[in-house]
Amino acid sequence: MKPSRDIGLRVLAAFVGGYILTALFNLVWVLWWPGHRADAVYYGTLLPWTVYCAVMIWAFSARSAWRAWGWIVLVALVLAILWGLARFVK
Amino acid sequence: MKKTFSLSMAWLHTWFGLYLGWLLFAVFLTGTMAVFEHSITHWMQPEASIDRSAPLPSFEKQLEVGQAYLEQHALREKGSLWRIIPAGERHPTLDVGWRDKGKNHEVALDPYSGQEIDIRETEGGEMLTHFHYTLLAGIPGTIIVGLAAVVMLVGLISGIVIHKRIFKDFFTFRKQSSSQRSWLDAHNVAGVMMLPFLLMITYTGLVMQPLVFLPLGIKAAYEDPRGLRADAVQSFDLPYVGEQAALLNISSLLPRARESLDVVEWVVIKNGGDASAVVEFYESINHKISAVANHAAFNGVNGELIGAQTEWRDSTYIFRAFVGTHVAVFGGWTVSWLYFIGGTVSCGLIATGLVLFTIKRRKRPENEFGAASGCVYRLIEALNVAAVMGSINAILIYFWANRILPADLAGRSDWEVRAFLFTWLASLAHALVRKPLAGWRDQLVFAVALCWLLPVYSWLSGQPNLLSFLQRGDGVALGVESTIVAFGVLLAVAVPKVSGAMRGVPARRKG
Amino acid sequence: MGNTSLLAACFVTYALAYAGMTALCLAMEKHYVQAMRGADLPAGRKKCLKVMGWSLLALGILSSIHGWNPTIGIVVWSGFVSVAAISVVLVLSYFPTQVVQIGASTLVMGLLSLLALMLG
Repeated sequence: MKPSRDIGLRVLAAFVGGYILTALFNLVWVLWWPGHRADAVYYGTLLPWTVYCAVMIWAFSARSAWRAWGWIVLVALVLAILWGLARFVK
Repeated sequence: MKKTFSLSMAWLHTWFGLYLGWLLFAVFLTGTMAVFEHSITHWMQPEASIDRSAPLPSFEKQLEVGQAYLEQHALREKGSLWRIIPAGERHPTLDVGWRDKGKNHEVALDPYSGQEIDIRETEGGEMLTHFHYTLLAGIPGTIIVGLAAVVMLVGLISGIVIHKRIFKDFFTFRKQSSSQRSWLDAHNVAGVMMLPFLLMITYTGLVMQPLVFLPLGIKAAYEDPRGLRADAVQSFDLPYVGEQAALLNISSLLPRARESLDVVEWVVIKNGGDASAVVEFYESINHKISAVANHAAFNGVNGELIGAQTEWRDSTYIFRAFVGTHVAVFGGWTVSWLYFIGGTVSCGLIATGLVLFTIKRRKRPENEFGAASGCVYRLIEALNVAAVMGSINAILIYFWANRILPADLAGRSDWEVRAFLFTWLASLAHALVRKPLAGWRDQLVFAVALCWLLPVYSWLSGQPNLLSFLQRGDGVALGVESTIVAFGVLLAVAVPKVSGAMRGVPARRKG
Repeated sequence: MGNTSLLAACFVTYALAYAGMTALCLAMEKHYVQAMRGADLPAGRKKCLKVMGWSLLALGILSSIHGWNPTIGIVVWSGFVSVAAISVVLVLSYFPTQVVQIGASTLVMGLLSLLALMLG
């Protein structure tokens, strides 16, 4: 792959993929929180940014851009399933 | 992407640091100013700098004066939100305000005489705070700052990874070595020493804006996001009736408010003048990190206690502790100054990082942009100057505009902001025209002159200045202006170093 | 807290942090050599300096918790530790031979102020 395309894909993975996982993580957290919804939201704001950082670092340390995206899509799918399950259950 | 994790992180640190460093410098610098936003606002309203040698009138007395003013002038309508913020140590005027068709109306009163003070129109320090988290571009601006903050966090983590010698080089600053070495040492020392502060301030900055950054989570729990606030903050409002009724003397409620609250700091009156008036006292949040203000509400006509909130959900309290740690309202001047120093060193960290990029390549070009490398490096040098010196000069020009523009100019505060933004453009243009080092030097000298001549200009133009602030015992304004002068000294120290580099000799060697 | 005792509490927190950081700095071979004009750092002294450094930092945290409250005290203390560490770096690179004197006199003044705070 051309280096510029490789970097472009990684930058996209870092910012867009990072945000998607962050938002999904937050969403799943809020939906699966067992207690009061205010606690779900407030506690839910505290951790997602570690996810964003982790994805951004992963995007630039993975062996290839496709590999970086592959894992992001996989984790996003798992989170999306958890999201769907939460809506189905509740 | 690179052969090792550490090399990948170095790449990430270099490029993300460069591209977002330009923005981050401005965000950190305005954030550093924001610590003293109210002090800066006070300084930008020299009309409000009154003689403070006599002790302030009591809180009760000030409430009475504020109430009398509001009853005479404020709008009596549904949803009119009257406020009284008595003068105190950090807050030199007695401020009253109300809401007029959704717009806030603010008036500053002389706490001694109760007279209205005619203040020049300015956005004061709040403009800098506003820039700090919106870039004056609303929600899109906040999102951009948020992305920059994530990059900042990643920059810190990747910085730790590539530094490797955090503990071995903890105290190492080799000022006599090659200029690249000492810049790198300065960058490392600033980063390592400020690491707790940097991680805290960046992370809490991200956490505190969930409505903008994480709207999906909130919408999943609440159809109307305002429901979240309703779950966290108890509301003691009474339904509006539309019948005139006399508001009782607010200060007479204070002893009972103090049964549930510690130090009362300000008062809000909802539906003032109506039979449904509610008087709500708010506690100072100075003594705790979590930015939640305990409050007690009374019926404004018969004085019955409606309710008081002194307990908070754990989750709210923890979330607001993140907010409180960021905005640093607690701990008085000590914490403000510590945050100000922390912010200044963080700005130094970002600035040294930006400079390092170009110093490295000045010595040994890496041709990262192929044939265009020379031009691009040149552009990067200019953007560095505009990001660092442009931000500093923009703020200084904003202060100058405050003193130069006529006090009664129409749209005055907008002109101040325009001067602020225009300075950035001018700085960039200048940096593009001049050779890189000359750009740095010129703009440094310009900034030093701006810092040092400001009190002189104020004095010559017959406006309040260092001397008059001292005479009036106005420590807040005095503090702002002397900090500007001291900042000039800090910048002046850098001038000979840049001049030395221009002559091709490394910074003056000692010992 | 009055203005004087506030200033004193700030000074104590800073002075203890500064003295502690100086001790930790001197406990490092290369900085000890810098400060003592080339003298070697004996293993016993290294350990001693380390213990001293950490205990001064710990004492600082106690005194700042005492001066403010547990939460604000920790914030204030960590702020002063950062500022103190930067001061040590500056003193070490601009006045390397005076590191010991400045550190020791700061320590003495800090402890005296702490005593004054506790008695007054």
